[in-house]
Amino acid sequence: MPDAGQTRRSLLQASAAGAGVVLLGGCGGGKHDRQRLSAAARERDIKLLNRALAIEQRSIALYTAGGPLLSGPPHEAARWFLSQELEHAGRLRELIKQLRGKAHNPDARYNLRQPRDQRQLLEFLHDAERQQIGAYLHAIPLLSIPDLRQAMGAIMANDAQHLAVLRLEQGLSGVPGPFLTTVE
Amino acid sequence: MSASDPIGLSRRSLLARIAAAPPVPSEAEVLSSLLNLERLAAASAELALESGALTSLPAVAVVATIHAQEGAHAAALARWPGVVAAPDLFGKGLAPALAAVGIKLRPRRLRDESDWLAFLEIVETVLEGAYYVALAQLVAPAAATLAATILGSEAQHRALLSFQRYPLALGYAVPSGLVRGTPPPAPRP
Repeated sequence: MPDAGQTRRSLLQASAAGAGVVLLGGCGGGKHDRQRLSAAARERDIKLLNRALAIEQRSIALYTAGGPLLSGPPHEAARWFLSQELEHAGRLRELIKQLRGKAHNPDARYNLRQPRDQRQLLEFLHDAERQQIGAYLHAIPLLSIPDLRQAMGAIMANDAQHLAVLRLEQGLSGVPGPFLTTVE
Repeated sequence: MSASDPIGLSRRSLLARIAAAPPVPSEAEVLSSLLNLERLAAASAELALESGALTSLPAVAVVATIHAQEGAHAAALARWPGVVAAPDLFGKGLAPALAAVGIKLRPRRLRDESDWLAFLEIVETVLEGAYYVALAQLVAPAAATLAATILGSEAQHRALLSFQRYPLALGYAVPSGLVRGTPPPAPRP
């Protein structure tokens, strides 16, 4: 029985051949595909990208505020990861702009909890990375354009690395299971 | 009905484009390729464990974990309908099988723990690239999710292997904010 994926694949094949239909999924996407995306699909993709961006922006706030409170290797890790989170946010803004969408701006203030100590701050950062990964795992199967799935996958995989390093800093196993998940 | 369609392509031109369009690999084909890569990765980790060159306990633990997790990835991929493991993957040995996906295995040059960890990092980088490419090819949501969860795992493996060689060197372990890996070369038609 053909599933939704096969239907989308058939549409993709027709589109890739230049039939001029609205592209909804498949391989080989790019800027051209983003220009041809239907309004509804574009709106949905913008919403998914903005959701991820908002979570990245909260993480940026947390790394910015919390990084100076850390010392030793965790401090260095927080500095390094902050620069990569900024890169993620920039990439997401760029993708939203290409879809002619309005990127979410950082909130004026974030209600960040005051950590008791370095250990608890690492837990907060750990939770923030998990939330980001959750947003990407939610979005990837729903995105219409293949290169958007790739872009989100590339960011998510980097956040997964952050998570592994933070786990090591917490004295935990870097890779608790074979599949990246937000449940630990 | 005119000979041209609304976007100005003649039927002949349209048919020519359809004929020239590269074939879109099926879900099962993409996942089968990933399954074979996972088998190669598991075999590589096993070889490293059996080499006797891994002398530190943390390195052995990381490689053993990776070995087990690559096996779990392979098992998950193999459960997908239509996915087939290449029966002759190791027919000519591990080194030629790895060479076919762009990885050079030269056991005589792998003299110590650091060499083996570096080799396994290369394997993980190819896995990252393969899953990154697959994310654009997989249409079924469950398949895309599976690929994404494994991509994240492979990226973590690579970071942890690097940490074994260069403890605390984040520039090596997590070098880029965007993990794209190095995809294996496309199979020849």
